Amino acid sequence: MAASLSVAFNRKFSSLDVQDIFGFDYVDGPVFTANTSETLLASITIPAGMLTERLSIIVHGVLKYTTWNSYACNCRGELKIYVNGTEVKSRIIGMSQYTCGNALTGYVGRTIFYSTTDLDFTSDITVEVKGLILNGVNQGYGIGFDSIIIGGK
Amino acid sequence: MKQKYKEYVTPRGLKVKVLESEEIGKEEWDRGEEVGFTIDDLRKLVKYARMKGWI
Repeated sequence: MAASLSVAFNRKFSSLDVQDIFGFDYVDGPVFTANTSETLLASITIPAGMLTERLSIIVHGVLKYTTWNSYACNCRGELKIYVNGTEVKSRIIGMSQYTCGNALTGYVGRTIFYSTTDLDFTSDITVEVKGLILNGVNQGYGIGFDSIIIGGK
Repeated sequence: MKQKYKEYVTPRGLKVKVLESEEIGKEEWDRGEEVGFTIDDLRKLVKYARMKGWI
């Protein structure tokens, strides 16, 4: 039977939505950084023995942009997932050329999945999500996430 | 720049540390504007993950 260990970070969804609909724990968010160096956005430690055979991680990553001219069209950021200090997955999120315009604010979302059975489940497991901006020329941009779901068996 | 973090323990006992030093996007988020990801999107994501046996 799957264990429900999930955590959602999202201001748009209320804690009651998340808890009642999905049975998840809820932590306030979203979480963004505008740093161009790798920055820890969130760390989640799963106590030893809570999972026994599989760890799954789902991150809904978000790039926030504000354009002031066409130079902002190439705004890109990267999200990385680490498990016990080792990078296991990364995804670059970039804005579309079609979203260029003056003083236009918006978001690009991408979902990142990772699942593994190759872990020592008798010890604590630490999941980290880190982010950095790869290219951005205007104020108001950021890379981050609105939801992280940690699950498994 | 030194980052600031909030720390929680969730009801199920997960220890969570979350960046709090940057507030980018929160105003728009609170107003419910400019955000494409909805509760229904989250519902679909969860349904897919459960179908795959991931969570």
